[in-house]
Amino acid sequence: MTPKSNFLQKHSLILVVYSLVFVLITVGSIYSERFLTLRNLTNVLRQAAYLGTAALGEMLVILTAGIDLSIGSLVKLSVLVSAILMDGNPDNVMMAVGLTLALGLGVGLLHAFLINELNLSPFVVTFASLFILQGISLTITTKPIGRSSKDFLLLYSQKFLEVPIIVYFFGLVTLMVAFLLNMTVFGKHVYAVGGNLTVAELSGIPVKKIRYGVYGICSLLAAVTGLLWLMRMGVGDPVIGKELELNAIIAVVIGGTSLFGGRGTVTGVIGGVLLLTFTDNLLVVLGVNQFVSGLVKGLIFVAAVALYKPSESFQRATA
Amino acid sequence: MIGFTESNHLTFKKLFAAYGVYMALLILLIVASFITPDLFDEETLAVLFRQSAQLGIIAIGQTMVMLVAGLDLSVGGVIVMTSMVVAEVSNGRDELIPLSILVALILGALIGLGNGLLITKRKVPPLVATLVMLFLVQGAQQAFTRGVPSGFVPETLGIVNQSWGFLSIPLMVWFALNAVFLVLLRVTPFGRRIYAVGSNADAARLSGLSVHRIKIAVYILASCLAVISGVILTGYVGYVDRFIATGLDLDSVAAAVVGGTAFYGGKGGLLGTIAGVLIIQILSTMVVLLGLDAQTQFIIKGLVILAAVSLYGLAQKQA
Repeated sequence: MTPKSNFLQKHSLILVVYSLVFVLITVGSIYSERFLTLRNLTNVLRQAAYLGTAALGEMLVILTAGIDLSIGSLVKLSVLVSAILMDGNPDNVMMAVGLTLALGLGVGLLHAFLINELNLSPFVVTFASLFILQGISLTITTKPIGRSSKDFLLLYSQKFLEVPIIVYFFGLVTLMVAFLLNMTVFGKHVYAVGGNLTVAELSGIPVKKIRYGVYGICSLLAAVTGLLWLMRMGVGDPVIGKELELNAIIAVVIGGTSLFGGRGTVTGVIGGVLLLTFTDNLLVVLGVNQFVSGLVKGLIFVAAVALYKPSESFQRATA
Repeated sequence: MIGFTESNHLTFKKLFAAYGVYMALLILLIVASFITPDLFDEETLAVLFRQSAQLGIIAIGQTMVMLVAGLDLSVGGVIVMTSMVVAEVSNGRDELIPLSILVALILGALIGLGNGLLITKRKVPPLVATLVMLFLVQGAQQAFTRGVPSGFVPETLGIVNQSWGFLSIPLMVWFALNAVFLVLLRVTPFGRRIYAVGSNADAARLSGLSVHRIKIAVYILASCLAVISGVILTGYVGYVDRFIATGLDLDSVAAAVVGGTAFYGGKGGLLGTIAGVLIIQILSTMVVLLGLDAQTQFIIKGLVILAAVSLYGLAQKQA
């Protein structure tokens, strides 16, 4: 096999995702004047930051052959806790942000602890956590609660060089995750743990520590997503975060990450996030009837996963 | 052979796997008789059993899907689809009830087929495959109804509210279906194949089983069971409600897990799931009877899942 076809095969999923994104952009530019404007494109990127921040964390966990089903509930809890702590007072911002991030990190470390020490499967632990975090959130409130401080709220609309600062922030998060995965020993170990757990253990990789790392970061990024929502909503709305984990998992998988661990790239996940976000945006910009847009979205999702073509090693591992 | 029947030596592990959940149920009932004696009122029991039956019927399908190492998150969507189809096709006319149920069953089977095809032929992970199918089904419903469901639920369908003491029609249907599927799983070759495919798909294929066909059949059965549950729920509510199935999909997974069915397939069964369903419903009812915030039942569900899987894990180590 030539190197080139090897490259194509290895990255076929990513190519598929970006081709789909390209098709959406082309359709959008042809059918709407508003679509290909700086304003709309930066708006899409800002929206992508919400799903993307959560999805990057989910990806780290999935790379270790784990899963985190609780991030939607954690985003919900984070937005409530941060809104209550901030309570509209600018002096409380640092404290609220700090405690919310600590809450996120704590939840993630607890997940890793249960998986490591009680030998429970990631699916079960985070499935239970989904219920518990949702229960805590809804026991706190079922109506909007708390208030963002004004400065914090303004961060959502603030721009630098015509681009919302949230987009820069998302870029930074993406680069940090990419750096972590590709340039550090931790990143190599993440792939190793997901690729073959037994081999990883035998070769002395500190599997438990890696789990603390990925689940900690995943939940931390979910807490960050909660803070981004507070910036956008200005209040702690318990509706936020509903089914976020499901969309994040779809973005990660459509982006070519194997749910069986060991395979996946940041580039692919960003492609998956862009595909989902552009789909939403395009349906709005084109003025597609809101009742039909759900159907169109469903068809695009099914088409995207039906194009799923697992590599050879993947087939051997799961067939 | 299946499960604990293979040997005459009943180890603690086997005892626990088989009866542990019933011991837990018994303990729960004893506790309830002290702290919430109202639970044993005839009326409370009737409601409890009715709700158990609704959840239990889907849980039968979810258990079988999990036995082949799968997962079905689309059951909630199938229930809502059923409720809409029944109202739309019959439009309140009693003589059209059989036809409307038939149409719902056909559509349900098609959804199950879609799940199965994505999972087997395209090797999409079950979590993702059934999720995108759910989005597609929800989208199609919205496009079809334009957000406002039309049609009427025939009055005769209210027959499901018929009851003699706590013995209601849904409860009898649940019993009957459990009997049918217990026989299917334990006695027929198909049932043994389900366990074989779940324990080791590779070995099953090498020994000549058509793994794909078995998996597809299981997903179709799960969808059809969701249709049956949907018909009962529709008759009970008496109108079309988009939120009729909220939470039932995750609860059905929770019931199977608490009952001892494993996510990785091949382990567990319907007897455990029946107890799992009852435990979940009794706890939810107790939350209400104790006058606690209704939302705390989510927290309790999460803790019960964690406790159950931890105990199963311990029992496994012991043996």
